Amino acid sequence: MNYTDQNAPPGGPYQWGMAVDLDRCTGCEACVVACHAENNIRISGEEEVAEGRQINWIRIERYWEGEYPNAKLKFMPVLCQHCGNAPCEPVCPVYAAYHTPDGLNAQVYNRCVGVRYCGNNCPYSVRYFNWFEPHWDEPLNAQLNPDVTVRSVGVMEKCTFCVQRIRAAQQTAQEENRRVRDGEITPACVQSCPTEALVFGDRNDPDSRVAKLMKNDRGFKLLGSLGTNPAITYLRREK
Amino acid sequence: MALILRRWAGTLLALGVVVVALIIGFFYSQGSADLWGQDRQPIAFSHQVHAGQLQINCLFCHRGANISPTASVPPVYICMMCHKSLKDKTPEIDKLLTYWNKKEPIPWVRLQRLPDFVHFTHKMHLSAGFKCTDCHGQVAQMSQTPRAATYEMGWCVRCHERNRASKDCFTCHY
Amino acid sequence: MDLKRRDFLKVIGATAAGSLLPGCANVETRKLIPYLLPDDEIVPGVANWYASVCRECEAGCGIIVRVMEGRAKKIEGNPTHPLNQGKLCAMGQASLQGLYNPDRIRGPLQRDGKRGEGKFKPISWDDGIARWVSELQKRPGGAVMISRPASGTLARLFSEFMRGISGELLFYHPSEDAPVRTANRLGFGIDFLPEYDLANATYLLSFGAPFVDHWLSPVHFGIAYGQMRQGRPTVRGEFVQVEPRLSLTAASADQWIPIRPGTEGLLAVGVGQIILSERRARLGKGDQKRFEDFYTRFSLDQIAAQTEVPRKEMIRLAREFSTAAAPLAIGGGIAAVQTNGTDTMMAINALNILVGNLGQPGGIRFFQPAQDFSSGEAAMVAEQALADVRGEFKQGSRSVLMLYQSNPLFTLPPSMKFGDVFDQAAFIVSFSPFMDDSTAMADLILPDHFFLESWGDYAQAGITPVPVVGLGQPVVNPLYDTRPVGDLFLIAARQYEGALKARLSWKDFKSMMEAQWKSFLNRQGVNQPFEAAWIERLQQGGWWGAQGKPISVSKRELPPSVASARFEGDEKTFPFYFYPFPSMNLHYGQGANRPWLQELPDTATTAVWGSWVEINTKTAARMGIHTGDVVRVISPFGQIEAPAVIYPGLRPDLISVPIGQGHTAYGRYAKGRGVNPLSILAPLFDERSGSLAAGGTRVRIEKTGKQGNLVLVDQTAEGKKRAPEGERGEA
Repeated sequence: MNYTDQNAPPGGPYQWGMAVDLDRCTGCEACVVACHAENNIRISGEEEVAEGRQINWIRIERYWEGEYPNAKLKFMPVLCQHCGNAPCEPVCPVYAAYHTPDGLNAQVYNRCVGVRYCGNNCPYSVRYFNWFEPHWDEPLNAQLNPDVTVRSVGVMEKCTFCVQRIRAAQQTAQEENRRVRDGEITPACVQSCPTEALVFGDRNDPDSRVAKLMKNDRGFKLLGSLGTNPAITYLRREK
Repeated sequence: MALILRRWAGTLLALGVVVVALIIGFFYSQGSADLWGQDRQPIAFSHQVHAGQLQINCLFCHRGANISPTASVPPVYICMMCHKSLKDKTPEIDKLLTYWNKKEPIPWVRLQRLPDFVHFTHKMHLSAGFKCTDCHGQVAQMSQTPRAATYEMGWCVRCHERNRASKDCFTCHY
Repeated sequence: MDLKRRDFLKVIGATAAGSLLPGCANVETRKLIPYLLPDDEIVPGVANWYASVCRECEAGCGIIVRVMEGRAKKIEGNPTHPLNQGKLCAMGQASLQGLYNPDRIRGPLQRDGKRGEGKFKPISWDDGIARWVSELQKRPGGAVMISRPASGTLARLFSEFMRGISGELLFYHPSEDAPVRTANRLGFGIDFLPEYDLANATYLLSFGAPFVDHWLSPVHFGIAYGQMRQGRPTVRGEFVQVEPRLSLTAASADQWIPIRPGTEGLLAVGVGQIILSERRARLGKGDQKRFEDFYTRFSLDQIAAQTEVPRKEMIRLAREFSTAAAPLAIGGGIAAVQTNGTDTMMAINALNILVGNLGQPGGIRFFQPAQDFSSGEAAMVAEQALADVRGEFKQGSRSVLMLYQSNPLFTLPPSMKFGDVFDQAAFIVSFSPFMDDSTAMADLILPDHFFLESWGDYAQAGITPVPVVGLGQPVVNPLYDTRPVGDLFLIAARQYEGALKARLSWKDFKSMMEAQWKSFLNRQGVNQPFEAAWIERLQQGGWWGAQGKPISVSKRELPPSVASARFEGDEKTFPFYFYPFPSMNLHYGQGANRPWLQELPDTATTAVWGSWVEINTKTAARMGIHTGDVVRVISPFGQIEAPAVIYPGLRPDLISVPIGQGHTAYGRYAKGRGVNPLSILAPLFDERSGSLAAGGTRVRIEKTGKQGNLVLVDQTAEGKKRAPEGERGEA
């Protein structure tokens, strides 16, 4: 191996980012189920969802605009924005939420003590707390992904951009003495999305799909005025 | 409150709780097999004989080490590849044959287990050029198999520092 | 108390220290159990990927399944499969919860108690199969099999077997697609579906076709939709959806036209007439007169009145559609499930003929599917054929009912009285892996493997521009004591003498498949020895050929008649139209036992784990109904109760309820949850396709005064919405 630190490959660090094209998104929610399957997200059940405890690392926010017959149904996938200036990071007393050198907003489960200040601070409400111990009726637990930690009660969790897939690709790339190539990493949501509304890649690579989409005219940041500097660029729906 | 306690009652209570905690902790640590496990394997397998005298390569048995996150423990079949035709019979080899004939896998006692939230991968470390003995010690000289190191995070981080590998938390804790 | 502060602190400190006892270690984590024999394929910690075909709906997307140490962990789309090109929908992703469902049937069962009590006791496979065959042989010519549509080898096996025992085989699945296929057959004379080339269209006019979540092949059309919008550098396809209820698909449209139910065909005719009269049609010489004669019969003003689409609007649509570079018209959904469904679909197809997009990129193109892959002769039928089956049981000409992954007691309205079959049948056997509503009425259950444990092949009948035959293989060992249904039929065939036994002489289904594939691959000119070719096909997930030229279509039939649909129920007593729609996560109820799908918020309402009644904003205000109030929906044939949800994207005279809940069996996640809107439908059919006119029953609604406990994800526990309706989002 030419380089020792998988986060410091030749050519500079990675900066993972995503583009969400709202003109392509149809709200089919394939991404939501794909994420649940990949990341061992607990099944909350009816009562817990009623209490607002449902965990969806990616969710489809929907808005109704206007009245019949001019009613419009609009939606956007919302997931952790991996903000460059994340409001959730400075407030963690045990440094469980922090920003990695490769642009991810990390949540380290074994550090988390359940203060929940981070979840409170997130303007996108994309941080979810495990109020209860997760449970799967046997043998549903046979499906659990061994590459992803199963979070226990008392721990905050959120989208990780499928960091397990990122690390696996980084390891392979490191073994082959190269950088990760564009398109080599697809988080579960990106991989499943039929319309290709979700695109993931290295923002530091000017040739990557995501870097090019970020420069698109239709691009905007979710709640951009808050100054969180998200790693995700949304592309406005064209009229 | 009407309860009158002697002055030393508080200290005695505190001491009592600590003693109880120690006793419970002692029994708990029994179960963790960390300190005692090597005496408790179902068969007294000796790495010193196999890796040392016979110079069998680590990867011959622990085949996952260079292709998988887990090094894996060899299937009983691997043992039988040699032992089915060896004439020497010791009580330990007899135990092995019994397991094989009863079609039962050998229930090895785990010496050490990384918690779920640590994603360590053997493959990566072997690719980086480490030898098994760098972490697991001089296994070829061990007749039992104690832990060669604490395998605690500080120990990992120091090596990462020395070798300029990633020290970012999210590299292993995700 | 004399306990001083210092001592108190000591006690607290020690107690705290003592209480930091860690939880007990799990016994399991103390052992390290190796394999006995090494597995050729399994490396602990490393995943294997196996290609197969998804069977959650009838589309047949190619999948690859991530398997670690013999357990299926994740399903992704097969990147090389021409239908879904590496993508997958929510239902496909959730099929893992079908495989590992806690309520799967774990072995053969026979009824213990009366039919319908739901009590079963185990029976051995030998006894079970013997019983099934003896019941069949006791009643020669008396068997009817209702099976989900099969294709390829299994279809051939079922066909041969049922023909051999003089039985009747019906491939049936609930859908809104039957009129689309029938319109194709009657209009173009072609049995398979065309490629609807959305990806290259510049103007898509859709009459109700819900291609985002359940029309023909949602993943395929999702891919095409993304390309239509943003896949080309300078062209963004325009999209208009015409339907009475703003569906998830309509939400992505540039314009939604809330047409009156059952009049979509008339609108298509109106638009066609304008295209013709403004001389924007691109018809062949042979068609010109015939089309003019047809279209001039209709009055635009009458059409405007009936459809409630203003004349100006029709003219605009006609102009936009006919002047677009690549216009495409499609139909389905609510427009198909009316008494005039097929005629409507034909009228929509006629629009494509008018603009000359047959055989063109961005239009409708027919490509020859892999027809030389023998699939058996039984055709797909729709609900009306099952009414005939009821007649046969009533007369006594049939007395044995066999069910394969079909749930007619749930998907057929009780007004069709199909329950009589279950009362009258002398013997009912089901091969389903799950205890669904119909299987719970069986006398004998011989459970099939789940599709992830099964061999199978799935020939695409159209839609893709290349011929495709998907190949399914087991990705895990069978979890329970289940058996492949194909094996059972072959065992049964051996109990008959003569031609049946001779024709179905394979020892098991896998051998039959391999034989089929051997001759198929030979016919395709594959030179390799079969063993190597077979491995390659398995690794790829099937066989797909090269793209040929589109078939030229000589027949271009216009619909025999175009009129408003008929509705059951008089307008005064039942003032509302009613549309039970296949829900995006549960479709026709198959998904109800997968918790991921139950927990998946319906995109438009964010409802989970239940049923709801959608009511237009003004209608609800007029009647004093709020979201959460339980309302009763009453039709001439029954009633259901569910909490209301205010739905702005709905005509004021239309009520809609999602299909999928209301199971009486089907496991802990599905049973006794919600209501089944199909249960209040009239026995109305689209005569030409035999499809149930699910949109043809009128209803009225009543308040019950009760509060429901419908869970909406966008409401907090206090019932207040997080994002007020009508507030402008950033999109």
